[in-house]
Amino acid sequence: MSDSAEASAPAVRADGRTPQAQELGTLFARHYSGLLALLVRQTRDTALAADILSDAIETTARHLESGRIVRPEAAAGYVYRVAMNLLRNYRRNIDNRPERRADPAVLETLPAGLGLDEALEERLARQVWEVVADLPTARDREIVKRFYLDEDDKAAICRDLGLSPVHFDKVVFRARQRLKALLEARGFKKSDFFSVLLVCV
Amino acid sequence: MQRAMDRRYIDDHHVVARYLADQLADAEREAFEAYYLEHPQMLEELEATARLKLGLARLEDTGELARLMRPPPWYRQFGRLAMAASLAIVILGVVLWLAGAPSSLPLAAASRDELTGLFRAPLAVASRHTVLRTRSTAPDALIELPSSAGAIELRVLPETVTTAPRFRVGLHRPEAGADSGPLVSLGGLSPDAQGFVSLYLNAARLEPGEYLLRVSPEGAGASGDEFLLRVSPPALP
Repeated sequence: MSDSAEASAPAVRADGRTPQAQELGTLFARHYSGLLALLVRQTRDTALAADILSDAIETTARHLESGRIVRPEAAAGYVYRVAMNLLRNYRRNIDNRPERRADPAVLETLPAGLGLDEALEERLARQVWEVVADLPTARDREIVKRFYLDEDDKAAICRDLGLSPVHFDKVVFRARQRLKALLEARGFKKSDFFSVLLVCV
Repeated sequence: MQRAMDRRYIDDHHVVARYLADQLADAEREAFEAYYLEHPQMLEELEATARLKLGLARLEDTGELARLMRPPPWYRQFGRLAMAASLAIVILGVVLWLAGAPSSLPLAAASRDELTGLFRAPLAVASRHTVLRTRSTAPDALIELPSSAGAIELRVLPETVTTAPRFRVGLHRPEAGADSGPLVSLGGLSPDAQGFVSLYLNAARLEPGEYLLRVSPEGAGASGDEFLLRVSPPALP
């Protein structure tokens, strides 16, 4: 590495953490709790989910430092992509790497317990309850449950419930829009995330 | 050949939910990942969907989802129907009341039926008056208002000889000035065999005082006649 490159490299703290990884960990815990929750639910293993997210954050931070990620606003997307790839690998048992443990510093920034703040989970559950209860028929609620929770595919749901694909689309669209409106009404927006990230990078 | 990944494709094919469920084919997944790296706002959609899944899982854990899945019991559905029916009755009542309120009824009409609101019986004729042009300054008709609701029938004989098949009648307040518009104007009135033009006034909307009744044949440039009506309050019992 040249002198000039070393001079421009980000400071690495004595514990091996880079400021970018630290910031990304904090911001992801604050703004992207849904991803961590998804990882926990999918792996049924809080530590493994935290490992995956930590790994994704570290990888993204390294790419930011090396300049492989040119646009800082794309960093959150990179974390998402890496985390989803790691999860997929885990699920397919292709790249399950137990020796890769989480960076404790990043883990510290993540909420305790199941991986999520209990109050946050409860708040989310109430919002989703509103969305589901707002659907006009039991059949519409069944569609949302089977599609988003059971992860059944659209064709199977339409066949089982005797639905047209258009009706299915309408129900799913309505549920999605309603949840989005509820989340936005409670301040769920990523614009803050990007502005903080731009500053820290 | 697969369509290019864009917002429309993502919505139409439920790509976000299928991505989180790991149901996309490799090419579709890579295209979607490239898309959301280019469009960071798509992460909001990913995050919202992840939260929806989390919320549903939580509701399932607590048993609340199972309760939500059940159709509401019959009595609750019946309750909703009863409430809707009650509301409809109230609205209908208000509409009928408003339609029948004296202030919403016309002051004059070509027939008795038109003096009352919807679903109401025609007003009874309280008095009949033949209105002829007199050669004095005295009113052409003296009308005493009835003590209860009713229609006042006027049979007006136009003075101007004409072959016009239809007449227009306007009721004016003389003190309002010559240029003021009529209180009410009726068109298309046909004279009977004797040449009288009939109309009905709503006693409930008529106030004591003097009125000018202008009757003119319908048609361009046609002149008409004026009749002075004096309306007096109901006689004391």
